[in-house]
Amino acid sequence: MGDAQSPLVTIDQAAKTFEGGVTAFENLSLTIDRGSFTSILGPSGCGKSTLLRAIANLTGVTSGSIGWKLEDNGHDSIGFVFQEPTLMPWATLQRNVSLPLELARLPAAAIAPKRDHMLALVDLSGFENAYPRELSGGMKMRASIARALITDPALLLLDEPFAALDEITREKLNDDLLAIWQRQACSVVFVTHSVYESVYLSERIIVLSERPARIVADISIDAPYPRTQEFRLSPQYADYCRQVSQALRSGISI
Amino acid sequence: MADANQNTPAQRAAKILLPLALGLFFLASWEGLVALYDIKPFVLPAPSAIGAALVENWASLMVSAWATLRVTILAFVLALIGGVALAVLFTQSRLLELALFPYAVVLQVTPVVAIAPLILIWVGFDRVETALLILAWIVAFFPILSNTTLGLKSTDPNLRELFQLYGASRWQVLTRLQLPNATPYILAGMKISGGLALIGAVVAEFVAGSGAATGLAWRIVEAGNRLQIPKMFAALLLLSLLGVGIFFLLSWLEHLLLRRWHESAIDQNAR
Repeated sequence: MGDAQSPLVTIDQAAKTFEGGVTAFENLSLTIDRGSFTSILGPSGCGKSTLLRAIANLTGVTSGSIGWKLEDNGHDSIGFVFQEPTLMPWATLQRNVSLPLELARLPAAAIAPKRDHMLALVDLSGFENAYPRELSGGMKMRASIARALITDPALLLLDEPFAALDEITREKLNDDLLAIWQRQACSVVFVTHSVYESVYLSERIIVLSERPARIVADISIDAPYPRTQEFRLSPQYADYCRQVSQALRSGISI
Repeated sequence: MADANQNTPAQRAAKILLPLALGLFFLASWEGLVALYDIKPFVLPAPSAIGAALVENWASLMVSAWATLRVTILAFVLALIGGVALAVLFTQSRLLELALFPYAVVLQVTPVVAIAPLILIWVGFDRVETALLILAWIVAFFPILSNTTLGLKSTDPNLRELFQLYGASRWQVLTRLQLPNATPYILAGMKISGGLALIGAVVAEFVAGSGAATGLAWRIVEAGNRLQIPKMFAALLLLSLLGVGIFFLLSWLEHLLLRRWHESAIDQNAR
């Protein structure tokens, strides 16, 4: 998937210090390739969410730079999935999913087919007119992913999207996400604090240290896709988990 | 959910019948005690006497009720428009909010009875209805302003970032995020303001006093002066009914607008 080796995001010597003096990350350099699936793994509160928000240009960096090579270098080409589904409670599912296109002032006739396609992709057809509160946590998260994908982004950023879900829903959504990634041919940056989730999903895992975050390991997971339950039970998977786990621990000073 | 058994027909009937039965018992005791102790009507009229007064003065009381209601509705609608508009301006300009909010508070905390004579003099006794309108508006305006401001500001920060990510304009943020988010707050403010607009109209009528005012409050003063206590009670009853009517109408509107999505108004039956 990442064979193209053309960089999509280039982070160069980036640092972010908040007004209160807290440094989220510093001296951080990283290249994310077009079409790749990269996980950013780190202990809680290490600044990985801030890094993700900086990549999305929702917050600036204090020094260094973050550069994109998106098609039009605009916002349209980034999809963002938050920790919570972050749906508008007053709007139906279809209005929520089509929000990015409505904000771009696309005519309704152009939105409808894309919206229906997205809802089908995340297995939510038939729930068009449901309100968020009428859906389960997993369904809301799938709607949130559909909304992020509707602009057909070159880059999909996910900030611990499945952390609040139960194990079974989480594994199902992991598989769904992989299927979507392979079909959509977008790049994914996935922030998580779960070693197992990151190994299962990623081509590459960036392990961050405690705050101020720096990269302690950059591990490639050389296992073919599609990955299945079999991969989860393989010795190879266990080895990777051990390796990533060790790297994660090396970044914590207890 | 826990209230599943609160929806049986028996429970629903009890919800209506219980207060009704209590009310009837109260009225019957009232009637009985007045007869038993031979209480004079100018001290405490029996419910039957009040009913008779209501029928007897029906035409003039209706004219008065309409006068009060007209001022109340107009003041309420103007308070709604003004309150929401000013709240929107506040969220668009921090400078404007800093400059104006203290004065809105001053307007709110000054007792309306105290400003009423001044407003009456300024507006002139030949245009009492305008004065009443201004006074009722002053009372009704603030809950809408403060509730709407709160609702516009308390949007989900993640949703705000989402709108930012997709390059939403200020207008889009206002109409698609802030105003829908503020709807439950505005409706809560409307329920408070609806009642306050009526109170404001009544208080203003009391202050405006003789001849000029024609509303229910003035009927109460007039009947009191003439010791027509049953008529006084009849006017009071109509005022209460107006207040209850306004409250139910606004509650119904709230239910209609929020029942699909907001926790405060979810259909108990739909749970």
